[in-house]
Amino acid sequence: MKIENRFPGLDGLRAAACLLVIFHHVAQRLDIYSQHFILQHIQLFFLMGNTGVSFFFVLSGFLLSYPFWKNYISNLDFPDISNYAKRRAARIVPGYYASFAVSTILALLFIPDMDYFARRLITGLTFTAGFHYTTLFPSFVNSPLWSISFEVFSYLLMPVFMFGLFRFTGEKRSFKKGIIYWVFTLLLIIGINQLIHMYLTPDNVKRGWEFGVTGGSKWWMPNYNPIGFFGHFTFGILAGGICAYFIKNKTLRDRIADKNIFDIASIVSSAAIIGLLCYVRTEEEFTHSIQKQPYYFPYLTALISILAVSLVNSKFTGKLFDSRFMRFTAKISFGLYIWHYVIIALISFYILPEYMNYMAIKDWRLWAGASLLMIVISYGAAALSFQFIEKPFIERVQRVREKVFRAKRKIRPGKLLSAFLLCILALLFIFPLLWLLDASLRPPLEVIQSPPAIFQQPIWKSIESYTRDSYLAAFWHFDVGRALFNSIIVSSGTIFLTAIVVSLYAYALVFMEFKHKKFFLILALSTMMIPANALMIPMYKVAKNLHLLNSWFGLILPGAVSGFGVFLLRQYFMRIPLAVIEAARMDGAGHLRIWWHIILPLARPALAALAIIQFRIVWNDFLNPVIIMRDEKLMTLPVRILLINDTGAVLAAGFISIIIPLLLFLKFHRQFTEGLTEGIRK
Amino acid sequence: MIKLTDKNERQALRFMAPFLILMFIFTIIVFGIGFLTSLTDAQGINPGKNIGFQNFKNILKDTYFWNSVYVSFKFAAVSVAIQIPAAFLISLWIESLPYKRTQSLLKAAFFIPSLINTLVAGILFRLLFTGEQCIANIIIGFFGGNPNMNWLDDKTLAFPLLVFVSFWQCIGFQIIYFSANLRSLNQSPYEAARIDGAGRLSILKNITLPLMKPALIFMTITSAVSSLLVFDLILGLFQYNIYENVTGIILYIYLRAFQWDLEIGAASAAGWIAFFLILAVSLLQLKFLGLGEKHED
Repeated sequence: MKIENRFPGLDGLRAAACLLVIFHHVAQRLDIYSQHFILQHIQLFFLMGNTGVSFFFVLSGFLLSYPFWKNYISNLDFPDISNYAKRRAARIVPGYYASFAVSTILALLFIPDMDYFARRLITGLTFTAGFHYTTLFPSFVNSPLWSISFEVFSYLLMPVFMFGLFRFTGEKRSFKKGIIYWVFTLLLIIGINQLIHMYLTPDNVKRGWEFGVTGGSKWWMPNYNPIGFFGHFTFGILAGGICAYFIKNKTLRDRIADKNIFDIASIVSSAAIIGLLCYVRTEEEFTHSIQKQPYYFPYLTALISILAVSLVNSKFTGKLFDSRFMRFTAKISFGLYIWHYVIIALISFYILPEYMNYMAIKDWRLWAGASLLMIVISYGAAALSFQFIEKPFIERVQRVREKVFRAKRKIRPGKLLSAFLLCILALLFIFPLLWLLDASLRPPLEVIQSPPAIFQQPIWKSIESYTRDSYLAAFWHFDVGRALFNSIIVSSGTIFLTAIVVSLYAYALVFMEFKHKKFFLILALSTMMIPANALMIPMYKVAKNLHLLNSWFGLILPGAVSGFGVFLLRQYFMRIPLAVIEAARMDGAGHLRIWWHIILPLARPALAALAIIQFRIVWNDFLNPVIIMRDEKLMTLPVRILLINDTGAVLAAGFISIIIPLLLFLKFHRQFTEGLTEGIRK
Repeated sequence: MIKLTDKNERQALRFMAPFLILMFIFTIIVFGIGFLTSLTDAQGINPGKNIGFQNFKNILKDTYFWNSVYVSFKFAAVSVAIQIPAAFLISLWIESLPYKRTQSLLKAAFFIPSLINTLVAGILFRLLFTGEQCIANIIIGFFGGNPNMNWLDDKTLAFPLLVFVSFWQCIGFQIIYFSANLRSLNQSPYEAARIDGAGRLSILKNITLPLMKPALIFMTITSAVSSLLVFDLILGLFQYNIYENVTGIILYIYLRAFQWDLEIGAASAAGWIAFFLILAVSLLQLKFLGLGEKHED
């Protein structure tokens, strides 16, 4: 985001916060009693990493309040609140929903009994999970999501109080008044928090982590509560105000900065933070803070705020914090925060069961390996999430579009009726799929009953009897999860290899000079005419002789021979102006470099179209996988589905097989249509 | 000809090598082996011995094989005859609407069935059509038809059922293709016609159809070829009870080689014959791809 880039040091701070939280969760996995003395203390220190959440709150308070402060100090109007809301929503909602959806699916598959599931689902979706101990953790496999509803609540309170500040001070604003106002707000928050402790503390029945997630949240609350966390946020707001003041009064700031006071302050405060965390590492939870608040409030919170202010104004230390790695980590920090626990859960479900439990791993080498794997995968997942889920929404909001005046359309009844009729036809088309979804969610006995259950009672009544049994059967009895994984590997492998192989071929055809060009073109295109299915037997033999049976390559390698791909890319390449290539040749670039650095980026739309078309072919292929993959563990989804003999599980697996192509189509349907029309537009 | 770079045959070959190697292995060698196998009496894992063209003679005399050829071609002809006009009309209909959002929503709705795995589609419709009181019958009854049809146990209903499911699955792809082509049509003849005050039907007949001819022909051939290859749809739809009037060529080969008598040699020979039959149809495709183009500069 633009605002963040202007503040040196804060990226580093955000990255540090994120890493602290991850290290905290990593440290939790290791059994402390069987470790060496030194390792024990390192582990204890990192167990304090949960304080990273407090860093996040201070940083958010700082960055979000800053535009308000800037307007306040410069005597401008209250900022555009709808823009603020849109930006916040774009930043948080897509990533959070994606992570919440994945975690919920995993929980449905792997967690046997979940108390208050419906409640958690609803509050999780509405960002209100933090208001009651039964819903504090909206997801059973992704516990860090608890803090999101707290954050959202702070996002809401901050402008409300800011509005009060703008209102109260009216024309006669001063920086001092603003700071005093916010200090009083902080005291008010602490006061309300006291009331919460007095009246809203949960009873002691089944309170504690030994009673599962619900007991744990009962134990956390009210020490953790949204109001209390707004206190952390308020520290950030105060820091933001001070910074806005400094930036307005540059001379004062420069005078202090020239004496390196900010640099010294940042070093001292970071040392103090580390010292504090070292000191409290052996102390009990909820000590050394007022009102038993977590994260050593307000001492640690104040230190973080001082660090933030001094880093932003510092001469050297800010740059020191913003190393390249830290900046990258900061960029994807939200993704890291919301996805890393999903990865922990996945590792525990599929590789190392103990990895889910606290202090369960005795061997520190095993622990280190698993943790390293977790961190690497988390970075990958967070980067993907940022690129494909979060960034598109952020960019969409940032693009300021001028509102185009649209003339009011005349309503034409004939067209309206025709649209209506078509819609009914379209609904009939997707009815079988709606039935599939409905039937897969019914108790298995209802599925085979006749007449079908869908017609026996109104749909809203039957929703209450929905279960996940069919999906559980599909996953646990028929190994559909593995088949899904195989299908994904084969599809992505084929797409990747096709893109490389085919684009090289098309490049040579378009941009290179050689004899018999036409022959090579027709040779490649002729593969399009071959009804490969008629050659299943020799294909089987060849695969067998090359030891490609029961191997992913047995499907990927033949899949890459795509005559249509050559055709598509050739058409696209021919539209690229030759001047582009010639200029690069002049600069001494080789063909390989031009292909990789110039042509491939230019041909991205065509490659996307090719990828989608290939995906559809490979994902739906049945004959090749049934011949090549004889081993049950390597079967792709369609082959697996044919072998399932339980109706409910078939329906569930069928629906699962639709989800991925559906999502891909909804996201890329434009490229897809373009790729199609590329076919014969002459 | 483009004058662009130094001639460099070797480098061009190097660029084309990955594709050529894969193509060599997975089409040319596959061809060769397929031919060699069809000359043996291989069965299961037993490689068998050379028996010359005996397999071909047997296959050509096998009524079941000819039946499967007939089924495939009949299925392709019927499917194309229904799908292409229907898809074209629906895409015209969609494009006639003035609502952009609704248009793309409708196209997505029609296209979604094409995203589904063919086998899964077959299984899905088997479940929808199983039993006397199946959903299909309830819907048919709702519209006033005979609600007591036993779809999957009735040989005469199998073929229409197959055509119906294939229609459901394929038409979305064709609609999207036609719509995209309709949009990219040159608008000037339409404006001229409007000035002349031509009727809607005559615009369709005299402008749209001729302009859309290449797209229509292309889609007809591609759809025909993919219908000739129908296989997993039949398997999914009739899994336990496949009548011979819905057994297409590819299914015949598959069953022969991997299920019935494991006669790999004979099945290979059948594959070869099928290959040439289908190739004849798909060669037409080549004509419509426009190979003679040069680099637009």
